[in-house]
Amino acid sequence: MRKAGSTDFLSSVIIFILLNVLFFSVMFAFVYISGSKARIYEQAYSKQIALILDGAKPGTNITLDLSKIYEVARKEKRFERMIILDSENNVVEVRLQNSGEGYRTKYFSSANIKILENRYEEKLNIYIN
Amino acid sequence: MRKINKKAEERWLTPWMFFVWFLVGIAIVVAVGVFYLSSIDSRGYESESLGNKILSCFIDSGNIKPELFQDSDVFANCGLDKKIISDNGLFYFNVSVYSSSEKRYIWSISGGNREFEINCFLPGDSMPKCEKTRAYALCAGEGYILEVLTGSNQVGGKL
Repeated sequence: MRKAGSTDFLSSVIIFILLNVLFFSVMFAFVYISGSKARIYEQAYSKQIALILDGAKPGTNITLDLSKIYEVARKEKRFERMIILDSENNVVEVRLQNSGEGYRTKYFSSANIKILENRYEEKLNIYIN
Repeated sequence: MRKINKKAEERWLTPWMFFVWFLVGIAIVVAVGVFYLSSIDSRGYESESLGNKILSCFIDSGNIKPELFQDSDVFANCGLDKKIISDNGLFYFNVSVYSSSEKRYIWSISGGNREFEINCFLPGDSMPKCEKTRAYALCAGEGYILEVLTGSNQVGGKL
């Protein structure tokens, strides 16, 4: 038969472990929920595409691999219009989430630019004229 | 003996434990916030890209294109969007040409936010990132130095 003291000790250890598990579960859940990669990829790809457009010379065709952002967009349940080119205002917008706005970057090149998303190969074809 | 056990029990659930959790929680929230709210700074690359674009438009195979000195529409000639560079205050460029033999100023042209001429050299994250490039080129057998200062202060996001 156990003494009352050791029973108290055991139950406080169990409570301690349970509280620890609960605390770290809440923390992991917080990091997972707040740590959506979509915002980072939106920013990175928007700036990368704008830099490509700025640096390219007329007559250049560029193919950009989008497999990473397709992966992120699928998780966010976004399946269309991930990269939007507003050639009138010289803005590249990358939107990987259905809620909220995407990330926009301006480019200074005056070239005539067309983009085409190849969803099967997960690539972006950029035509600069 | 019983007294020793009692002390051991008290060590498991103490206000200190909750205080430590609170500190750990705050540290995690701050770390996540700092990581996800930080932005990718591409202003230096944009300045470099603008500088390269202007230099490659002024110089062809080591020779300055003389028509650029006569025609002042540098935007059209260099493939730069005048509206984006002039109206938004995000970009700046200045091209100065000096004679290499006499070190004499000859000609210059600029566009965009003129405040960058000063702000480029000021410290701080809110100041534009700039790039100064110098190139030597020939024109009618004479040597010239082209000095190109370009700057960008585009943070991006919700424009």
